[in-house]
Amino acid sequence: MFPFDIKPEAAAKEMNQYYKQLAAGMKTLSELGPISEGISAKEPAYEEDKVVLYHYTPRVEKPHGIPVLVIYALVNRPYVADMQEDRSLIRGLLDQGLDVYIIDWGYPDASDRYQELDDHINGYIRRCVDFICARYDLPKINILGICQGGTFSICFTSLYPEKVKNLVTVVTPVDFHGGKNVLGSWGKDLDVDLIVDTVGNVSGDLLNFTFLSMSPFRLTGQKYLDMIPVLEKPTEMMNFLRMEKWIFDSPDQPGETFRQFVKDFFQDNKLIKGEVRIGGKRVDMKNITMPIFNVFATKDHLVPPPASQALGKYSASKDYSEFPFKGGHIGIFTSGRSMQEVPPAIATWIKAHG
Amino acid sequence: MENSPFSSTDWMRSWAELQQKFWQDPSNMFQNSWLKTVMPNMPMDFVTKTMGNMSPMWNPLAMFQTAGTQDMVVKNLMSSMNGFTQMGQSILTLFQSMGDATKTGEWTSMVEKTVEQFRNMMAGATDNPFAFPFFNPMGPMNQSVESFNQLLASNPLFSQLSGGLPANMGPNALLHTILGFPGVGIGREKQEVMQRAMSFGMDFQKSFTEYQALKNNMKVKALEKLQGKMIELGKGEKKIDTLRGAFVLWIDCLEEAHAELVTSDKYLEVNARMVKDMMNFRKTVQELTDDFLAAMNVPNRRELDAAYKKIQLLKRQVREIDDEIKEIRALSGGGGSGELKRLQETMASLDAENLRIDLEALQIHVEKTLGAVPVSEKKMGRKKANATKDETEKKGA
Repeated sequence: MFPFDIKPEAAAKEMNQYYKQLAAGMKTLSELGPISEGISAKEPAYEEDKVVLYHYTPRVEKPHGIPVLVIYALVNRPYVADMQEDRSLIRGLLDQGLDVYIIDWGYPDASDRYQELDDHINGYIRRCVDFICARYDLPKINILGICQGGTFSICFTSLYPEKVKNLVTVVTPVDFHGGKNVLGSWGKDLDVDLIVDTVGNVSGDLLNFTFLSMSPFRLTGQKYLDMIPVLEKPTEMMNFLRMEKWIFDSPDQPGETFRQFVKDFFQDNKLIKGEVRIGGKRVDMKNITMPIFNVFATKDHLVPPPASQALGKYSASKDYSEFPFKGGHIGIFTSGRSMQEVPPAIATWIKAHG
Repeated sequence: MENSPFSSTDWMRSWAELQQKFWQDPSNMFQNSWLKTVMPNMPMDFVTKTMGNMSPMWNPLAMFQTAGTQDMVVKNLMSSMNGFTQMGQSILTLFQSMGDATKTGEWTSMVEKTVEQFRNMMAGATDNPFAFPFFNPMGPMNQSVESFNQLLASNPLFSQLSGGLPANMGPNALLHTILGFPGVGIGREKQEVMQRAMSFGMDFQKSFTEYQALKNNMKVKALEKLQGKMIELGKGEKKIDTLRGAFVLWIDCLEEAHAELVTSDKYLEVNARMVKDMMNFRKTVQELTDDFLAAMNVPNRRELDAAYKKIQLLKRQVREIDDEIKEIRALSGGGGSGELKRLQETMASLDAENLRIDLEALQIHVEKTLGAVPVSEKKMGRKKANATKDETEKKGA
């Protein structure tokens, strides 16, 4: 039997409907105005070069005594964790009574090309942590790392365990060869030295191109066709545009940091072997003995669950727990269900661990 | 073929336009005076074609093309809609032309024929003009070789030399050999860099061609998958009754074929080689640009990089010193005379006064033992601070 039954009248009606929506959408698009970058109130607490440590305004009268420092990836911008009122990991944590800080890495330019992982981990992160510790007169604080920021958090915690009370990781790669990892496969044979020596900083556009390449036909075509029916709805359209903005708002990667991250982590998988050296210091995951809460996404195409779950195996924590979220790498920040599940789980765990 | 929903000449071409927005770089970005000034002796046709094949993501000028989010959304919407519309029109035309075939088993052979035509077209066995730039994998390569041939033909020296090379040498090998000749004279260094750039450019063209060939083969695989899915769907009762349904089915096939391709060893190898060749070419062009800017007494990338490297080292040193100062201040309680204060505290913790009394007592004991006049005895008028009577006795005071 012929598998299509598309009547000309129905097809014409379908087309007509799309065009009507498209026309109405033009009006919506022209009236939407600027797209916000994060919704929770925050103020800069510490600044160094292009890096800003923000403090979110607590949303309860007496927040939890030990603050949480969120360390986001260098890839894309951290406001994915605070996209909109009902889609914000940060808002969820604040509502649960946590006192939250976040590191915004800014937009590196050519003058930052020679920044290394050492500058990020022994430098910016350490000084941000020291700043918070001094502000609260605390010896240690809670760290929450997201994606590559999670990997940075693990490195930091290994190097400065005395400064970390509890470690929370969200969609964080640990075993870079774990699971079916397309990004890892692509990076395997690349001559990263030649790339960095040639281009210096690796552009955000290149990273976007790489991410789009993972599913090019859906992400560069079908997505926009799927969007047409929501064009007439300003709220939904703004939500779409916030996401669209975030996806393509991609800072460049400092060349030397990119070189070391791709070679040591993606290509040679040195983190789990205990062979990563940052600023001359060896990153030994066995130094991580404090409680760990590892949140991963079961359908994560960028950080497959086994890549993340390796944290339990390679750290020395005797208090390790996992929280599998049924969704993808981005959905964990943007889906309504995630907001019902993830922030409360993290906050409850942190509060239970002092 | 012209009326097939899977034809490359109608809706798929619009679809391709959308894809090209993301995957290809407009070579006119490079047809500017800048490049002509930097490389006056390099055949511009070759350079623009080679640079044009670079992904915009590797192209430092591509950023100027980037539109605002809303503008980009509108463009993408229009492209998607355009492709979708044309696909819809083609599908309807096809169904009309198929007539009763859709009610019989004859449609499967029609689909088979379409797939076969497409397969042939991808292999270059068609004179479809659209197939040349988009599907013919050797297209860009032929163009660059042609540019080189023009260059060589205009140079009597090269013509003479190439006559002395092995007759069975192919055009690429011949060009590589000629570009490998050592330079002579005052400009030999720059000439060699330029030759190297052209040689890398050829390597890139070749690997890019291979890369494109893999992508094109992927489209054939997608079509085969579509054929399979149609036959599978045809066995059931459920039919696709919307254009969007047909569109999504095709996208699914493309994505499946793409996923298989990009995880294959062959793709990883070709992709890595293509990126390497692209980088080598771009790096050498950058060298030429730097030399040109230096000659103009203008700061260049090389010099700025050296400065940035030094600045980063200095930043680290300053922060290390800053950390050390903070540490010292913290240890000393924050005051300027903290070091002294810390020493005093250390002394106090050593119970220095008692130590002094003990030493004096020991001195008296020694002097007495040796029979000398215990000069120090007169100092013993005071008791050891906090010492008990027993302790004082034990020490022989």
